[in-house]
Amino acid sequence: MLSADGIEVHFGAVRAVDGVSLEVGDGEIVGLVGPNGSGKTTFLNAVCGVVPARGRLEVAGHPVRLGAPRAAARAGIGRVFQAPQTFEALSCIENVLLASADPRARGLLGATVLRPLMWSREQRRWLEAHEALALVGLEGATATPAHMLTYGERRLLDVARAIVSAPRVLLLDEPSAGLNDSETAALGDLLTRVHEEREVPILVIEHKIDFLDRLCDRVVVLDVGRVIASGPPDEVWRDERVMSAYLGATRAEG
Amino acid sequence: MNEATTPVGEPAPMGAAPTTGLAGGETTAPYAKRLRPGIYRRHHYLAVVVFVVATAVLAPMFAESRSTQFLVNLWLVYSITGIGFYWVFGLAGRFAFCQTFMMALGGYMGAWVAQSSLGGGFLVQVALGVVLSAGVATAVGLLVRRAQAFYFAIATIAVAEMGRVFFSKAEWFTGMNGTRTGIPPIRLFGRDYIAESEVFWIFLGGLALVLLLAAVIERSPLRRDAVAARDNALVAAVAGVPTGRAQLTLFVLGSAMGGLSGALMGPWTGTTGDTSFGIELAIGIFLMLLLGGIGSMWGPVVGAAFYVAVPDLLSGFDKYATIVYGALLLVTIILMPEGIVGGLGRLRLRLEGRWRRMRPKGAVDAVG
Ligand SMILES: Nc1ncnc2c1ncn2[C@@H]1O[C@H](COP(=O)(O)OP(=O)(O)OP(=O)(O)O)[C@@H](O)[C@H]1O
Ligand SMILES: [Mg+2]
Repeated sequence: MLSADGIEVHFGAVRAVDGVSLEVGDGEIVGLVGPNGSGKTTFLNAVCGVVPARGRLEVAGHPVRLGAPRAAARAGIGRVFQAPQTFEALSCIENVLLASADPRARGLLGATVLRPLMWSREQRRWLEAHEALALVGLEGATATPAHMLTYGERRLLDVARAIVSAPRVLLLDEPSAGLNDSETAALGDLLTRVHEEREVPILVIEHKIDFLDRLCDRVVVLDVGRVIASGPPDEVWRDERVMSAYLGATRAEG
Repeated sequence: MNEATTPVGEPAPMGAAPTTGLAGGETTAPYAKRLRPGIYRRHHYLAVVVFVVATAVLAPMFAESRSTQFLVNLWLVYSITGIGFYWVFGLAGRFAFCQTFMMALGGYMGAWVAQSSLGGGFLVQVALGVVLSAGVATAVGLLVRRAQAFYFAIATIAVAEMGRVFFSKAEWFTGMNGTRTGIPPIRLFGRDYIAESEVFWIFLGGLALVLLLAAVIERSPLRRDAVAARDNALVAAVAGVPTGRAQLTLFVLGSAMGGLSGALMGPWTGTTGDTSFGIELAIGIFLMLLLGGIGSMWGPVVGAAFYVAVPDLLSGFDKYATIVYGALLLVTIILMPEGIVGGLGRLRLRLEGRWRRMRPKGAVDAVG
């Protein structure tokens, strides 16, 4: 579904992502792991057009222009950021509505002369948004201003916003960060549910090994901007290069 | 704010969502109505009607002297430009410093049309003033569409300065020394509107239309997109929001309201000059928005009332006007950081005890 080929991102002299090629197939949940600073977040940023990047990117066989976030969104790339990114001035359902894939009657014409059209599109968008909120368990918070949500709820809201447009692939950046064990387990269930009900392949950055073992069919390991291993979780954890990459990182930190 | 959260445990309406067909619109309606975002539950149109009727009844009663009538009219035109600036700065978050330039542009254009061989009635003059300021705003907005926050502010200051130079050079357009005098009074449907009390009705009608436009924008996806672009353009773009388009639309529309108020002022006072649109007014428009409240379409209307009334209440103490403004602004920022309208809204929520009840119920037990 998602096919990235030779993605490169440079920050000055730093090669944060150095020729990463990666596939996420239909029906797959792929984990993206690696030591701190290995370029995982930057890779996701490149895929959803947030940083300038080189390489080739395809979604469902169609090429996607790099460096253009809206083009990526329209191609069907949904993204959940590491820190919740909610729009606090809006209510929960409005947060989700932002990502509606339906662009019609959304501008000035829709607000003025095409109001009947806008109205009927809006009603349909509300239903979609409510469905997405219900899937993540926030159906009781539809009208709640987003600034009243807890940290965990904000993350759920981000997930709802990322799935409302029926994306072709979902990218998540450390979704379990800041959650305790039971919350992490609930999140795992939620992602499985999203994956199955929405039939959306997922690429997820994670540090928690058992979370990955439970969720992922496959993990890809990055180190200093390159893919050093890829395969089923239990095989990858035994890989020597992976062990030394993590060991090296730990040593450098300690 | 919001009237109620969607009750938890209602029969799930999701299954009923039809995806195709024209008839779908009808079948979705009863379900969709319950889900509509809080903004659509507010009574914008009713508020506009109440405001216009109240002003129509109260203002003539209260404004007995000619000078008070003048101030009321000034309040109405400033409200128009203030609402425009609310779209640009409040909703779209564009730090634009060219609102007074847009007013001057609309004013000169209206006057130029009125005094040229073209003639044209009052409505034509005003319309051309609006169109010109909207056109210039479109060009400016497209040119600097990538400029964020600070750079956009600088770019608009530069545009306003270039405009000032142009106005002082192009006397064919702006009149001798950049001031057009002897602009014919408002004439509409065969009737002259010369006295302050007559002009009042024209201005109130203009403000009513602008408020109506503001209301439909509040109740539209455009507002939501603009707010998202304002608060986090990057995340909004990743979500697929047409951020640039939303911001450009509101910048152009807001500038057009500047042009409208400028074009209304010429036939009212008989002159249009750069001095009426100077730096004082530029800061004044900011004041109106901050004082009245940046988060509501009513903010600039309330703020403009204060802006117009304060110097009058202080007549005789003119030199203290600036200090009083400063003090007023400080007090507002400290006591009501969301402006007068925002503060009152919060107070209302408190009184009605809704603040607590808006916490999600079913959601708390979910993750987090
Ligand atoms: N905007 C930026 N400007 C300059 N350097 C950057 C920028 N973003 C990331 N980097 C650098 O790129 C490298 C990869 O960073 P990235 O955030 O992608 O790592 P990561 O794998 O997500 O790490 P973590 O596990 O800590 O989240 C790091 O060396 C980082 O310092
Ligand atoms: Mg990261």
